[in-house]
This record gives sequence, structure tokens and C-alpha cells, in this order.
Amino acid sequence: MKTIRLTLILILMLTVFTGCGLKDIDKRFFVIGIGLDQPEDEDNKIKVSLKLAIPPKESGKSAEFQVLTAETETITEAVRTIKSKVDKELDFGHTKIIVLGQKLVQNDVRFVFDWLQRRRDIQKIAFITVGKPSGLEVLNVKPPSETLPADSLILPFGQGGVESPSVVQQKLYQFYQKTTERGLDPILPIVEAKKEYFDIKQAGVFNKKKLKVELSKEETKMFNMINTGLEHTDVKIKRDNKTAMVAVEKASADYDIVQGKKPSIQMNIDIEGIVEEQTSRDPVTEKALQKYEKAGSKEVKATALSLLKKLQKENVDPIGFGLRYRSRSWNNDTEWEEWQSIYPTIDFKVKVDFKLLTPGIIK
Amino acid sequence: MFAKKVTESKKWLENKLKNSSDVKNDSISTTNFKVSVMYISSICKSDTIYQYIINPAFKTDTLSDYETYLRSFPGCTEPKDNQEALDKMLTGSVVIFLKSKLFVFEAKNVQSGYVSDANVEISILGPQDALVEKLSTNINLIRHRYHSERLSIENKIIGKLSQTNVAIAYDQSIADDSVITDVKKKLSEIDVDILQSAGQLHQLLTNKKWSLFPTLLITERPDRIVKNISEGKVVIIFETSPFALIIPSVFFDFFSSMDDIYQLPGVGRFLSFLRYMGVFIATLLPGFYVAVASYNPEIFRVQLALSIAGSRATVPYPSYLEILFMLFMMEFLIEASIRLPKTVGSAATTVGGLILGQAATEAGLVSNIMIIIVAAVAIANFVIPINAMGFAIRVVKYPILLISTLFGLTGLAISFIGLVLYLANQRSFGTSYFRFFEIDKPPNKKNKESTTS
Repeated sequence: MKTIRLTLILILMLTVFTGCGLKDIDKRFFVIGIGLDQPEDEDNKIKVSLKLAIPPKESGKSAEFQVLTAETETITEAVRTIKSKVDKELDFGHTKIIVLGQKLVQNDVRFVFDWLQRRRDIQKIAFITVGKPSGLEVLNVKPPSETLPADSLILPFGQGGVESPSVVQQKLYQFYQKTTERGLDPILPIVEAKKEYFDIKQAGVFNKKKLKVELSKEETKMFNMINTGLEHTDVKIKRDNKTAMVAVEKASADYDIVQGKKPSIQMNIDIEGIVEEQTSRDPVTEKALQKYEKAGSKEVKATALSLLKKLQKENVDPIGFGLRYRSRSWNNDTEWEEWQSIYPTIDFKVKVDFKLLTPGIIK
Repeated sequence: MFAKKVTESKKWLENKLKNSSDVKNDSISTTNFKVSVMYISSICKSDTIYQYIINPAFKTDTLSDYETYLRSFPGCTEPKDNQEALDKMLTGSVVIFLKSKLFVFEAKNVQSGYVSDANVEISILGPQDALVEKLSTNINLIRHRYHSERLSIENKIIGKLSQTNVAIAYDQSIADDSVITDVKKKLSEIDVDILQSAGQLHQLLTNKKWSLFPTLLITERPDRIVKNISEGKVVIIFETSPFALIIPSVFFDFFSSMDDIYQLPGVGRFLSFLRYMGVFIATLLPGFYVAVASYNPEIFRVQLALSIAGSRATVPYPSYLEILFMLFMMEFLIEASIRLPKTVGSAATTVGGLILGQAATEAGLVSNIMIIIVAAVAIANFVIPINAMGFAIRVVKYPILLISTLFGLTGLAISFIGLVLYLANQRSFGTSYFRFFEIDKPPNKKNKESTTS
């Protein structure tokens, strides 16, 4: 009797804990990507596009997908509207990418995070990007090489596929954190939809609310080098009408905020690599390498300085100088105000340690 | 009658072997003299003893003639001391007590003719012999692997009608006294008409209505029996069954194969790791599939989720019915191939394999992934070396599947915890089923005795 009672209690408890009910995997529609855009109709606030993966009926078939769109005042309503257009239950458990339309990010976008953060089935490790010209168009691109829906959009951001130095990787939770963290501003990769491929080479920096400045390809590369360090990249060096390409094996940067009367940020960039290609026919001697090193450090220094000044000018801080300053100061009440007054005029000092290794054979 | 030295030796030997029921102690009185012989009947050839020891005694006139006669055999020697006599006796010699001397006479009986190879617990590098359906042969097999006077073999008869001879074998000095008395007590309490197999005795000894997991190990390998005796366990051997019971046994014993010891240590560890992996797959995989495919598909990689969804698209029934259907087909196939005569058995597997593997998927009854899962479950189940445990694992996946179907991943976790708790609650003659280390072994008072002897 006692065991029967215990079993009954256990079963009752379990039914409470199960969460979502039994729904077979083939009765679910997996939402792989979500596109959020500025609506065309003024009455509405948002245009939601969902990229639904159609499971391959036979193995080896290429990726099939369907994009459904709805324009409403809230995202929840839009999802409800789309639900009435499909035959299977929408499942956000495999949502891998969230694309914010270029027009949407011109204004305050923070309202979309309410939905994205509160939905428990959206994994917070989904990648988030800015889509050019719009989220819908990015979702609609179908590269011929794709084996799974949105594969070619997800792979560049994960570590699994191509390792490009100009891709900034941002996950949903990181972006959300940065919208509230003082001293660290959000940055998102910008995906440009072409006819049969994506172009991911730029990044956009936000001032917590909206897109403030777009970084060029070179600036994005430099940002990645400063922010996380790069392993496979290249640097173009120009010297006396000769151009050389350096394959960089390791590039990293560290910085110190020097406080005092005239505060400055002292940044050291270390680059190590080999000359991969040059336009002149001269042999790459030890002497030539030294010259290349000198020219290279000059070039890198200039790019870094221009990036830092550009960010300073727009008063955005995706690298997190402000956070560093706050973490190294003791005056908790005033440090943030202090930093805000320091940052617009702070001096940047960049030192580049450019090292070229001798390529070629052992004589 | 006998000189004092000889009488003392005889007493000493009798004392050493007092717990063994197969020790024979006969005296031969002829008109002229008296000799006495002592031997272990299970490992000696009785023909030899009659023909070369007893018969000639009646044919010789004096004791000295008989002594000369014995000395003429190369296998007959005079032992240096009592210990040597005992050692010789344990390897199959007869001790002959004359008036003032004692001889050992080799009458070894190695039963190799009708001992068959093990075919239930197969070992690659180990000994190939298996127990047979004859008690004396089985005791012979054990005695020949355990030459020690500490090995006691006691006989008992169980079954009102079958009158089955069983023997309890253990090492006097290391076996746990409480277990021995417990076993004897339980054996004498058994009230049954027919006793024919080790599995039946297992049920009678554990006496539980709904037990699922074996708590006593059933084995057919003499080498495993000897190893367990040397670890202080009690073994019950049968007259009519080629299997023996090892008491007590813990959960981990059922996952050890004798090959683990015979292989190199690295290989042995890998093999036992494989087995535990197999247990997890065989018990949890069906439940995991249903829980993940029907409740939480986000646990899969997106690629896998889509390909499962794609392959399930034509399946008309929900995943739990699909997996139940396939699992039952697999169980039918296994049962059919075990019970069928060997000549028909291969036909059953061919037909069954064909239907399960190919036709079921093409007909859209089950998905491709399901075939892989069911095959993995079946193969993983075969990895378990002890048959009784393999059957228990085969059954236990169904309750886990049921609870997972009802409650998803939470159910899977809860049912697994429940299984662990259930196992931890089992006892095998007082030993915890999950005992991993020897910490809770009760102190053994007999240990002292063995060091002095």
C-alpha cells in the first residue's frame, strides 16, 4: 500500500516536471533562422520572417526550406500568424541564427530582446547578425553548396567551417549582455545577401540602442586582431611601389590604460608571419625582410590608430576599454562618469612588433 | 597395530581433510596383516586402487612381501613428511599405511575424455573446459585446479523426488563462516520435489517473487569457480547441471569475463570498459530515443534532428510504438534463434534479418535511424558476458522506455536513478550488490588458523 501511494505521488510529481508534451520530431517544424525587419506598413512595428527547415525525405537530397513572413505589432503576434499558415508545430529549439534587418537597426532595437530572451526554447547561443539589405533577403538566399538549410549562414560563425579573419562572431547572450554592460558596446557582423552566396566581411558597432558605425573589411580584421587575436590572416605591405603579402600565423594585442594627467591607452600588437607573395622579382633576403618588417609595422599601426580613432569619434567602445578602466579603479561611484569624460579625448599609443620569419629551404 | 608415528600421520591427515566428503579412508584386513588406505575418491581411479593396491594385499603372504611389491612401482614412494603426503594426496595419490611405514601411490584420474568445451561463457585465451552433468567429474575439475587441503567439499541431497546431489565447495580458511552457515541453512530448508538446474536453485535460495537481477552468479567455467573459491566465496556444484552457483556475487562480477585476467591489463581494462558502455546503451538508448525525438529534439545536432525527422516522415505511428514494434521483433528473433534446432536457426535469422533490416524501412513502417538503434541495443546487450545478467538487462529497458515515453528526459533520468537505487537495495547473502571495494567485509576469524597450519 505504501509503495503504491509513493509511486502515485512520484507519477504526479513527474507529470508536473515534464515541460512540453509528447510531440514527435516529424510533427515539428524546426525554425532555423529568424529575420527581424522594419515593416513596410507604418501601423505595424515589426516584420518577422521564419526560415523553416524541410527535412530531407531521402538522404543525399539538398536542403529545402520555406520562409514565412508576418507583419504585426509584436513578435509574439507575428509567430501566431505564421503558426496559422503551417501544418506542424513550430519548434525554436534549433534556431541557430537571428538576422536583424539593416533598416531595423537604424532605430532602437532593444525591444526585440524581450521576446528573444524570454522564449525558453530559443537557445541563447544562437548567432546574431545584421542583414543587408534586409533580414528576409538574407534568409531567402540559397547557396547551391548547402546541404542543410541555413548551413552556409551558420558555418562561418561557428568554428566548424571557414575561418575568415573578417568575421565577428556574436551570440545572442553576448549581444544582450553588451546592451546593458557599461563600458562595453555591442558589435555585430554584417551579412550581405548576394544572389547565391553571402558576403560576411563587415561589422557594425552599436551604441547600446542602435547601429552607430559600420566598420570596413580591414577595420573588422583589425578589430578581431585586437579583440580576440587572430591565427590565420594576412597583411598587405607596400614599400617603394612593391607589394608583399604576409601570411600571419599569429597576431595578438594587449593594452594598458595609463592614468594620470594625460591618460592614454598603450597598445602592443604582436604579429608573426612569413612573406607569401610579392610583386617584385627580388629575392627575399634578410635585409629585405627587415625593410618589410618596418613598413609592415607602420602600416598596421596606421590601420589600428584609424580604427581606434574612428570608434572614439563615434563614442562607442566595442573593445571594452571602459570595462577595463572600471575593473582597475576603486572609486565605484564616480568611475563611470570619469571614464565618459576621459574617453573622447584619450590618447592612443600603438606599438607594433612585426616579425617576419625567413621562408624557404635549408641550404 | 600400527606404529605410533604412522597413527599420528593418519590422524593429522584425517584432521586436515575432515570437511571433505570425498575423502575415503578404508582399511584392508587380510589373514596375515592389516593395511589402511586413504585417498580422495573424486580424483583417484578406483580401478587402479582395486587392481594394484587392494587385490595384491590378499595375494601376498607377509607384510614385507607386500611392501616389496609396492616398492616395485615407480609411482610409489615414501613421503618425507606428512605435508608431502598431503600434497601428493591432493594431486591424486593414495596414501597406504603399513605397520611402520606409509607410502604414497599415484592413482591419478584426470577426466579429460568427456569434459566438453565451454560454450556459454567462451574465453579466447583461457582454459576451454566446462563443467559437465556429473558431480564427481566436476569436483575432479575443481580439485585439479585447486591443490590445497583447505578446499572443503560437502555433499547434500536436495529434492524429494529428484534426490539431486549437490556439493558445497569453499576454502575453509578464507570463506566467510556466516555465509557458509547461511548457505547450509537455506539448502536444508529447501522444500522442492525436483531440482534440475542452477537457475532453479538460485530462485530457491534468493526466494523473491519478482526479482529481476541475478544475485548469484551462474557459471560453467571451472577456472572462474576456482578463482572465486580462492577469493573466499562458496560454490555450489550439481549432479545434473553443468552450471555452478557462486555465492555471494556482486553486480560487477556479472560484467567480468575470465579473459579480463588472461589478457594484458590494458586490453582487459578496455574490454571491461566496453562492457559497461554496452550496458548503458542497451538499457538507456530506447528510452533516450523516445525522450529526445518526442520531447526535446533540440538535444540533437540540427543535422541529425532533420535527418531523423526526414526518415520518420513516412512512419504512421508515434515514436514509442515504432520502437516497441522493432524491439519486440528483435526479441522474437533472438528467442527464435535460441530455441530453434540448430539446423533451422540460421533460416530464422536470415528471414528475420531481411524483414527487420530492409523491408520494414522500405514499407515505411519504421525509420532508418530506428533500425540502427535497435541493432545497437541488441549488439550492446550481447556484450554482457554472464547470460543471466544479459537477460535481466534485456528486460529492464522496457520499464525505462515506458517512463521515458510518459515523462520525457525527466522520466529517463528518474527511471535511471530508480534502477540504480533498486540495484543498490539488492543483497547477495548479506553482501551489498554494489560492493566495489572490500571495505565492508566482516573480519574473518579463520584467517588466524590458516597462518598457523
